[in-house]
Amino acid sequence: MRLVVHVFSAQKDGNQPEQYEDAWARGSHGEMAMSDGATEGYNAARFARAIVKAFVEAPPQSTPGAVAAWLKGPIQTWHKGIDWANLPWNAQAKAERGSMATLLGIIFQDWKWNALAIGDICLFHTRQYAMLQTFPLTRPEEFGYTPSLLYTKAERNAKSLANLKVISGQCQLGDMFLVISDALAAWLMNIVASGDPKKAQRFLEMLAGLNQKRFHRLIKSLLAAGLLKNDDVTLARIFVV
Amino acid sequence: MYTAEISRKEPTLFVFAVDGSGSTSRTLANSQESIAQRIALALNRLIFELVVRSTKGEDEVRDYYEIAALVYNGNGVQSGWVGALAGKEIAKISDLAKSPARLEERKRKVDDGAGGLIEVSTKVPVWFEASPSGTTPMCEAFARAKALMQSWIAAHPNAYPPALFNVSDGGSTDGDPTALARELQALTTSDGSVLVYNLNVSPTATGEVLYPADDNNLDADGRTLFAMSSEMPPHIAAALTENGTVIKTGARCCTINADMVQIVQALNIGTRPASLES
Repeated sequence: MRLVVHVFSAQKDGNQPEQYEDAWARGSHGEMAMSDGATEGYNAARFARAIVKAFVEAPPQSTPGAVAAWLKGPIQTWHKGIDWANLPWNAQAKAERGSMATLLGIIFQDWKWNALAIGDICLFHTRQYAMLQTFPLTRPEEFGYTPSLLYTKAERNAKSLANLKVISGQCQLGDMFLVISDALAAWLMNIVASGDPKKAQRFLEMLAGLNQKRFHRLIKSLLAAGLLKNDDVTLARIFVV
Repeated sequence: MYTAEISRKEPTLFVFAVDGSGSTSRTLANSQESIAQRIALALNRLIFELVVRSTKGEDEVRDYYEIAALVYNGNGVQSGWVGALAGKEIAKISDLAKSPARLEERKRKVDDGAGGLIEVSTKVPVWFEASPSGTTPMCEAFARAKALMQSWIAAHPNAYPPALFNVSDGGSTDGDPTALARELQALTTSDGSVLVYNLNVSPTATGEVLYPADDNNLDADGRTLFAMSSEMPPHIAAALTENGTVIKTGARCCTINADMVQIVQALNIGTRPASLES
């Protein structure tokens, strides 16, 4: 199997590109990961980037204990990136409170895939423009303000990792997978939940034909229509070919 | 109402009106410190918290909050900022981040993320001071707060509504501020009315009443404070309830003869947004 991947992203409307706090990475053996740094964290973008890089380079086993041990790497990367001794007082106080991010990691291998998730980044598995599976959330009302998070303060992770979600499945030639950060995932979940397969099909066809220009036009129109929470948005589209 | 997201585009305003009359030099029970010192400490800690909440990275403080800290005493009403912001009335949170009057240093050990501890020196900032003297011109303070809020709301008509926190240890000496307090409560953004908190502190905390829902058992001063205070919005009531305080329907944003712990709780929860930009 071969995978063709396109990634589209936009920072929150009104923000500068450098304030974008989602992260995406693809490894060399079918590993992919998306992370969404939480606004209330200190330098959450660095933590999110460290998480996805660590995942695609050496993904953990899908157990809470294995993920907790694996997370030491990204936590240290985040720590080392901070010049603790020379921070302004307010940045120091904020940095001491740490950072946090969500994660969705997926690995494709031999027509099989398995994924793990902490938080509200969603994976959508589609075939011929029909939804086969959504993961880890399945209903629009599950998108809230308090998703499970991975923390740089290691002692806070036990509670989150008790909520570690794992899944596996098989794929076929022509399948399309979408990995989408929370705001846009909530929009798509609403369409799926509307119970109108024709409508869902139309939107999946549209997403299958996205390019950068159409993606930005889509985000702009959804924001204008009040159908999208103003947030960083990332969509990774994976075709099995 | 009271659901607007606090963001850089739509910040909110907190006005603190602090009684700096001579009586605030009284020492608090079980403490070496005066009422004035402890109020200043509470306010500086609160601003510290708001600055930290607004800090995103090394060089980025997002302007979610604008703050005025007025002192009213025998010298009238003046801004309580000291240092670079002295004389300024409304300060943006990013200006406060940049301009503490001084930083008091202390050493602390923190987690190094790898199971160990590293020693860091923590800096505790000071922005606000009050020197107790003379009378309690609360009407003048409310009039000043009203003027500040009126022009602020004109520039931010859709913001999360501003709040006034009046912290005092006694009654007004320049008349009854009730009418002015009601005029303040009549100021509105599209998200609701200005909230007026009256936080009365007592050095001994005897006869305390927290967030009364009626004025039946209050003395004359207590009834005035009750009449001056906004009805508590549900999200503030919920946050106080979560903290273990009993809140009845119709409770007012008002404490009478409270101790400093209760004043700090009221300030912390009153400045907690229902929704902060994500």
